[in-house]
Amino acid sequence: MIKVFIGDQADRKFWSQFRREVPILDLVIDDGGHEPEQQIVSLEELLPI
Amino acid sequence: MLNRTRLRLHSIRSGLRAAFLAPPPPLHDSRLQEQSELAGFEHGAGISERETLCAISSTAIGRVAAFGSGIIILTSTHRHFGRFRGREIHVLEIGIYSGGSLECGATILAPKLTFMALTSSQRARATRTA
Repeated sequence: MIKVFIGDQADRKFWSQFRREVPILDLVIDDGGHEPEQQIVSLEELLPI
Repeated sequence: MLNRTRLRLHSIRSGLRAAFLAPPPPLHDSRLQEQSELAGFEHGAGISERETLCAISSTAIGRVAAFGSGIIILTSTHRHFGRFRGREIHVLEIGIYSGGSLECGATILAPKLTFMALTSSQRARATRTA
């Protein structure tokens, strides 16, 4: 199954909605915006996986 | 902390070693093999004909910038995530552009794969969702 979410990876509200919908993750590949702020927010919101 | 890092590195090395040592399925179609070699693809990387075909089709419909990019995605996915083949796994890819790498990754990791993709691009709406 492939599911596409459209949003901003620097938006913490988006991540909290995403994590409610997707509670289990095994692997994360971050090839997104590459800006430090985007990467920091993504990491903080995704950990612990 | 150091021990956890060492353990993780050991685990990554073991996975990579297993992926490299896995016998590569043969490429039967000479046209596919020729295209793969033209793209600088090393046959010993262990990517199947079906997966090569995925890179070609993703290129043809414009989801991957070039055939070489598709092969690089396949080779990288195989090397780093090949050990998860056939396992139930939940993957999140952030930044998918128009979904070419998703299709290639799903080809390698299918069928027990749940692939979540995050993008800011509307182009990705066209990506297959089931």
